[in-house]
Amino acid sequence: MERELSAYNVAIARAGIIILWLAVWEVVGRTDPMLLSYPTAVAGSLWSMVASSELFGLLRASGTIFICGWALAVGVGILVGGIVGWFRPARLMFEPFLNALYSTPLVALIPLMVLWFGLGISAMIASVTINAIFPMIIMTITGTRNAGRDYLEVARSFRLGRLATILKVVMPGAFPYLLVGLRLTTSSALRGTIFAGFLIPDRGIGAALRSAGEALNSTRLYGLIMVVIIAALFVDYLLRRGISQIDYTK
Amino acid sequence: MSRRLPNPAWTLIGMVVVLGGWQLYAQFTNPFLFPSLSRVFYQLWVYASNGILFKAFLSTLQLLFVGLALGSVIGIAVGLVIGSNRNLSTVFMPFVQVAYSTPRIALIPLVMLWFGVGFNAQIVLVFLSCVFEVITATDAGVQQIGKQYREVARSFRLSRFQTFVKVILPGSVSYIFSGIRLGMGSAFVGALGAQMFMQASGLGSVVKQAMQSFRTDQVMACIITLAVAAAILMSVMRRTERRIAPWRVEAFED
Repeated sequence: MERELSAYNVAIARAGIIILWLAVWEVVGRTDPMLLSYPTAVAGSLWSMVASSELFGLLRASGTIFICGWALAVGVGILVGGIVGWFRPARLMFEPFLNALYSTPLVALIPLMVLWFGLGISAMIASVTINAIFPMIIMTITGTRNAGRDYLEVARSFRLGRLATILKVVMPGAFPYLLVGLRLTTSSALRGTIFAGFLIPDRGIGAALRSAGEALNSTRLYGLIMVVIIAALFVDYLLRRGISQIDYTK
Repeated sequence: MSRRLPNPAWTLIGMVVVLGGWQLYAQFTNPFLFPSLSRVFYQLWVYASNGILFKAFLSTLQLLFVGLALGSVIGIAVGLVIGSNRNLSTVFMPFVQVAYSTPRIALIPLVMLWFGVGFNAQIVLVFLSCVFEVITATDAGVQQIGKQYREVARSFRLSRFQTFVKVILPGSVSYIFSGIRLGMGSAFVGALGAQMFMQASGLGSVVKQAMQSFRTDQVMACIITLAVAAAILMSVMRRTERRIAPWRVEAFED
């Protein structure tokens, strides 16, 4: 069996890969700076974006849209999913539609949001929500359905009230499913934020990416993509931390 | 629970409520903003008879399948290599995870810069949209194969190739399939994005044109087409998955 690397060596290997990649990019990039650019130029461009507080503006605009759209998707998604999952008639009536929408690539609905809400922030928030809400709904439905089963009878034997049953039996049982839904919803919301920015000219990152691409400004483009990657990782990190804080099933 | 209607009855009621509600609601609002169901179906009919939708649909499917096939083949290969060695996996998977959690749609301007806007460039985008899903799932699939299976393979003096075909592949196939299914969802988004923002083609451009000419009925007709297509594709994937790996359905996160 292969020997397992120590954590120290793993860190060194990872750092080595990053450094190697940056070095190669720096050398190769200088041969064709128009297309490839190079790390020091990208860093410089990023720094000037930070210094002129342009980056802050971009992040604020996209962040606002992301947070509003995400919060709406999570809140409404859990509510709708809970209701549909809890009441059998509602589930039988609406689940086929919800399932169909769940697997549909709903970025195609963003144009509809533009027609409904105009080219503005509300259309963007609606786009994020509509893209992100269905995983939350579907996972909540699955969760509430699977939660009950065995434990509901125990709850009935102990004469738990309706509210207590929901709080003490259904919620903890549905929790793992909600977490999966939360993760899927978050990544869809990120995607929706960028996508909406391509279609709707705003002050956010999506529009900035698009205009950098149209101006063939590769340096700025790489910088912005770095920003997107770091932002996505940051959101992921926050989500993980948040989940570890609230996970009372552990 | 005294009177229980049978399941299909409720489903039927649901259809009537949703579709009827849509039709009824449309009567009382601006038909340009919220087209009635009949208008949307009429538009579907128009699309179907002039062949626009069918051609666009085929073009989107073609892009989706070529990109997904490339992403699956390369993703499985990379995933198997990375997954077969613990250390390789520990060192490299974080990089894959970073790519995985980045919205790949953001790479559209970059792909355009590098590869232009044509079909090949669009394939690159669809490929990028799904390959990391497949790598992640394949790696997870190989990792979860119990140590004892590898040891049995060694006791029987199986060659590397035999171990791979008889142990590793069957052990991870359900994960791989879930990864491809997951990748398909994201590849679909990538394909639409490519067709909307790169060279206009397929359903993406039909939707975008509908938006630009303020035709909500056309947008909705496209959405219905997409929903039906997605539902069919997903159910085909699930069926194949059940056939290939019946012992384990829904291995990877749904």
